[in-house]
Amino acid sequence: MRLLAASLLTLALASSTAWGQQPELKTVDIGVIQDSDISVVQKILFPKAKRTELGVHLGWMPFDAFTTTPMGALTFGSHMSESLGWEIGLGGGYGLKNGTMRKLEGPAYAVAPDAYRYLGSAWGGIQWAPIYAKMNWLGRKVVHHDVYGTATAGATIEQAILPDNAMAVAPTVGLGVGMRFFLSDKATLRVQLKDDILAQFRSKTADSQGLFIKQNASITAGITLLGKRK
Amino acid sequence: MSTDAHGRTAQARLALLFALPMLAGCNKYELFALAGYEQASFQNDADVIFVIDNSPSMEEEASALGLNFQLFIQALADPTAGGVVTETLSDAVDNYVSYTTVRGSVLDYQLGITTTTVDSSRGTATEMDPGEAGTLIGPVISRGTAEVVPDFLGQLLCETTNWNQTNLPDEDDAFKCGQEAIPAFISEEYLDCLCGEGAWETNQGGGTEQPLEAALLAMCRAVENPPDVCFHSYASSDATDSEGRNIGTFEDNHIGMNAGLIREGATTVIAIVTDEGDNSSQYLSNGDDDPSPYLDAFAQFDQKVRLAAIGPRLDTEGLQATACASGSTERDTVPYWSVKRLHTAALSTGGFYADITQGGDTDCTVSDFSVHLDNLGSLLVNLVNAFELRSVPDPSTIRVFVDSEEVAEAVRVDDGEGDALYDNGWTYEPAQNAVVFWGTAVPDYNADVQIYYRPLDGQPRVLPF
Repeated sequence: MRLLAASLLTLALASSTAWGQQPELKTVDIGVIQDSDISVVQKILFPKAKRTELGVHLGWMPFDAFTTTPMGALTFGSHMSESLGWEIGLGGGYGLKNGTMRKLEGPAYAVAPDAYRYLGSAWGGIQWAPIYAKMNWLGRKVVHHDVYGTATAGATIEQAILPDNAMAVAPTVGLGVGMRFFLSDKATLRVQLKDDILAQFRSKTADSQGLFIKQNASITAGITLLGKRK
Repeated sequence: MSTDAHGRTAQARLALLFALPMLAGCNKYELFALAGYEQASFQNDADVIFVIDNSPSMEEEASALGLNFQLFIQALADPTAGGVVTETLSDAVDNYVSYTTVRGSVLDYQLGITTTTVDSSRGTATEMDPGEAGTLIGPVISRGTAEVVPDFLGQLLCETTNWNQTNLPDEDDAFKCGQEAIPAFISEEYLDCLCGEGAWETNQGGGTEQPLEAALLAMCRAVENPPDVCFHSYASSDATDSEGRNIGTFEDNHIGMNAGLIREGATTVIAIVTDEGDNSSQYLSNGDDDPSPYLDAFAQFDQKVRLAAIGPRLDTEGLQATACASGSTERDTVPYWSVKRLHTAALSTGGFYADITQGGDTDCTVSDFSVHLDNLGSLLVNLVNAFELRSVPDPSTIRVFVDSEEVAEAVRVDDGEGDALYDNGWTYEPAQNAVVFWGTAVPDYNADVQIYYRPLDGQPRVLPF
């Protein structure tokens, strides 16, 4: 019995000596890390992949020399991944004479540009959103957003401002950039700058030049709703 | 590629992307000239200056002019109606009804008579007798005047026409002094009644016919600020009249002699009646057939000027002009260049040129002045139907809108006699550089007329962009 007790004491002492020692440090050689080996690993708080997006937008076409155009649009799209999606849209608006045109039409110049006013458009296209980021707003709030580019094709209908009110339906391609600010998991605020390029046929001047290339550059802001992930 | 190079490329692409929309400001639009009028405010005042050849050979033509003058006035509607005044709704309604019924009724006209005699050496040599050197025979005759026809006939027949008593019948059995109707022919009895016993016998005139110079001087004497072109010597005499005015040179004290003849904004219609051509030598030389110096002179006034001429027969192919001496049965040759001046001036200003004679080359008959005066009436009435364009248009680009409704171009209808007749619509008249409305397309009173066209010679003003 005394022998058993002595053996247990000896084992216990030996064990307490081992716990009190520092572990031995070991290094692993992983070689040289290059730029291409680095990837950003970030948790995307507001994912878009496999979700639909329905939007309502208001905007303005302020850049034309003779018209200024308030406009609106409805869009619907789907995101195949976080960076790639498609979208279709319907737009409408009404081009107004700007100050320059009214000045020209006055008695001092008596000149009337054969300008066409925007009435509506329909398009479909792709979106590529390579950037997802967070930014700090006044040190109080973190805003999640993405930055995307878009390319579209469609048609635009416009009307001559001169009293003949000739209509022109123009095939249209567009390029744009935009940002999507995530307001919640389901809603975003989208701002977009898009330049539509129209091949427009103008009947009044068909004898000399009928086909004109026209640009409708618009700035829009809208609210979109993201659907459930499929 | 280095990191810096990557960065610069990315920046360039970004800049390009943002610059693209700015190019929208460079959208190309064809610029149309715009002529906009409101029919109610469109100028409907016409000041007619008759420039009558008062040489002895013209008595038959003067008779014909006088005998048919009433038709001319009738073509311009009621002579007592006065000009259009729109101060109240009632006025506007009345004007509308009147306008749509008789378009000429909105024409507010004035008439004045001068002669083709510029040199004052005829008559009282040291005075500018009435009608000489662009002075008026008598007071300006206005539409509002009750006695437009008698007043005009009085000036024309009593104070202008150089009568040859041997050619005038003494009596007219059908005429009774005091009757309103104009007789069938001019007799001494009629002239005695109209002018006073023998008052018509002393008219003198003639010499060198200078209708263009006379018209210019008439306008110069009418406006408050004559253009520089007015201040020139027009006759060799440097004598002064009883008012101290040089009778051979236009000077400051000549201003206002024809006051009231030309109204601001009115169209001035110069109606020349002569059996000779134009021999004005102040800005032209003998042999010159181009009246441009006078057209340029007229353009220096703030008036639209139309010129209508009833003159010798002009054969532009044979380069020959002929007319008839009074009482002669044979045609006399008139210098072609002198007649061509009038012909060119008339057509260049949107007026017309008519042959003062009729019949074949061997006939010498005074033409039908009722037709000439009807044409002159139409010219005046067309002042409210014709909308002048500021620039010469490409005719294929003209678009016309009345109250925002597009008006179609009129189609020429063949009347079988070669005269231009049109259905309802508009036509472009190159001679007037104007869009003329026809038929029911003539804009109604108060209508808003807009004419768009692309000018051939570019924009008249430098645009602000």
